[in-house]
Amino acid sequence: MALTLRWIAFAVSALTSTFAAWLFILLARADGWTSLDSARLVLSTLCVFWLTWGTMSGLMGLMPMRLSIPERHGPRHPDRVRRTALLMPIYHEDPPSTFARVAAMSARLTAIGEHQDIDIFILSDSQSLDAASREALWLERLLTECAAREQIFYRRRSKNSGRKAGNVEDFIRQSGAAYDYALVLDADSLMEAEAIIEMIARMDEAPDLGLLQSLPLIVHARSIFGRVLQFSADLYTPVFARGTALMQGREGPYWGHNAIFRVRAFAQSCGLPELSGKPPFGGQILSHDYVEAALLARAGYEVRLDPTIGGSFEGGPDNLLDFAKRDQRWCQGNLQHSRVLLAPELHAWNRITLLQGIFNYLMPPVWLVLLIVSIASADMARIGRNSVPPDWVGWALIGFVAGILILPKLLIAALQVRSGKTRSLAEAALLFVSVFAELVVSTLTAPIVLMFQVRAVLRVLFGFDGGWPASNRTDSVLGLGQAWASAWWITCCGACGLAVVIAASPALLVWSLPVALPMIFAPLLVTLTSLPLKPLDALWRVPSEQAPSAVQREWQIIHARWTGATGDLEQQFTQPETVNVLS
Amino acid sequence: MKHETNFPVDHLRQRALPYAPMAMPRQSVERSFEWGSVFRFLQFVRLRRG
Repeated sequence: MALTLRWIAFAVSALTSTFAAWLFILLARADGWTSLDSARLVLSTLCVFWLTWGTMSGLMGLMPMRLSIPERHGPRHPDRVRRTALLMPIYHEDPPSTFARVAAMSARLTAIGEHQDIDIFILSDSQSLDAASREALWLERLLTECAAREQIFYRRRSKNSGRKAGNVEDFIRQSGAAYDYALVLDADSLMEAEAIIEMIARMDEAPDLGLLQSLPLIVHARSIFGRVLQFSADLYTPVFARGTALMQGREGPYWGHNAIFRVRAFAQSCGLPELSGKPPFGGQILSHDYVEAALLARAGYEVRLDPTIGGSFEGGPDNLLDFAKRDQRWCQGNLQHSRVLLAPELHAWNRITLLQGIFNYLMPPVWLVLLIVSIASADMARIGRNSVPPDWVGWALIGFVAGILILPKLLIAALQVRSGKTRSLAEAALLFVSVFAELVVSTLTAPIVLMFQVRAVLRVLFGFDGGWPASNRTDSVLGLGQAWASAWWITCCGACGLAVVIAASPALLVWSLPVALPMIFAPLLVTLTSLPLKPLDALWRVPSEQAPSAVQREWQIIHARWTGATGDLEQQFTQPETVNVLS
Repeated sequence: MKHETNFPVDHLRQRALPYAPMAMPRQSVERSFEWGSVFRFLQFVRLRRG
């Protein structure tokens, strides 16, 4: 079935982009075809193909087809004892926040009596002594408070060779033979104990399953930007992930965390070499997860994304600058995959996945060039030609592209209402208001994100090695000065672009404003979206905000206690809720 | 790989990781371009043309 769905997705994308190309030819031919129109035709067809390809996984996810994921029947086999290592690689993280997550997960495992076969490893790659000393202090606190302290280990590498992949590899080389499975977490990951046990059980059931990826939902967002991201992840991502799962076959994705792998299979097939040449294209493989998934599949193991496993959470960036910083890392890592694309014996779908990752970052420059060429082309058309294209064609093209972008989101929201997940008319209305508000925020921030992505691509292409800087997971609010220092060049680009449009193609002014204005006001938007605005709290509500799961509550209580911000949290969360692991 | 703590180990109750080594062989992920294949292809085309 997966193969058929892949072909359907490709065929629909090809048909859609052909239709858009036909509309474009009608539009551009009306006032004479120029060489710039040929460039626009190629670029716009590529863009529509790309948009449709992305939309297809959302539409597939909406289809009432059964996932080809074997279900587990009954409890875990009592005599099948598998040793599991929970690995939390960290690199200059905030120890109270990170270690409180370990404490929360350990407490939940102890609470359900399933901690005996699961050891937790904090694998630090922090390089500064200051960071290491903070980790040491908070480790003491962690070990003092945890009932299962004998099962918590900490080690720090003096040199972080191979970064996160090297950190995990170092663990396997040292201790891999002691464990059957390893569940990899990020420093901001949280997983319900029941979800961990469920994943172990599913690995038990399928001996050729090399890696099982859960779908982590974003939690604990505070700012407007973070909450919009959290809302999108909660509402849309499960459907898109379902679509991905329907098309995955045995070659599913690995996202680097909240996933469990078979240690022996991983060790046999995922030893990553250094690529020849210098960074950014050579050296250590930065985005190791996609490559590891491809290598496991190459070795004959199944890699599976299972969006039906609930209780898997992660943090997300709370402002545009942190988002751009993360994008810079991912951009370099994904573009580096061009070196791996032709690796011997990789499965075709894995090559397509790698290519898709590369195009994730090549498309923003394509969009930008399309915009520039369109402005130039309108100017050319104004000179010496007077014919006007028929109105309906232009509107049809715009409506068509907007439809591809918005349709899956509206369908997903409608399905949510139809399936009874909103309990009243008011809740349903609030959901649609949230969807439209999300569209407004993402439309306003899209040109800024696009510019950051274009810069990231150019930096890589010009040989700048951005490395893998630590993530900021604590301070989210950005001052205007901070935002200006990072986004002034976007303001300049927007102002210059608008000036060119006014001078050369005034007719395009109205059309260019949705792109130019957010660019001109980029620092202001960066600041505003980083704020936690109380009046907007009613918007973008997600279940994890209204009724945090057991491990979330545990983490919030421990973190508040450790950082002295206890307030009335402990009173607030007195009644633990039943965890629904199978969503 | 040297594992450091930089702090009094006993005080922190840090324990060594379990010693259970496992080999992790390096995989081949790059395919170098062979100029010979271009030469062979050109030869093939020439032969076909007679």
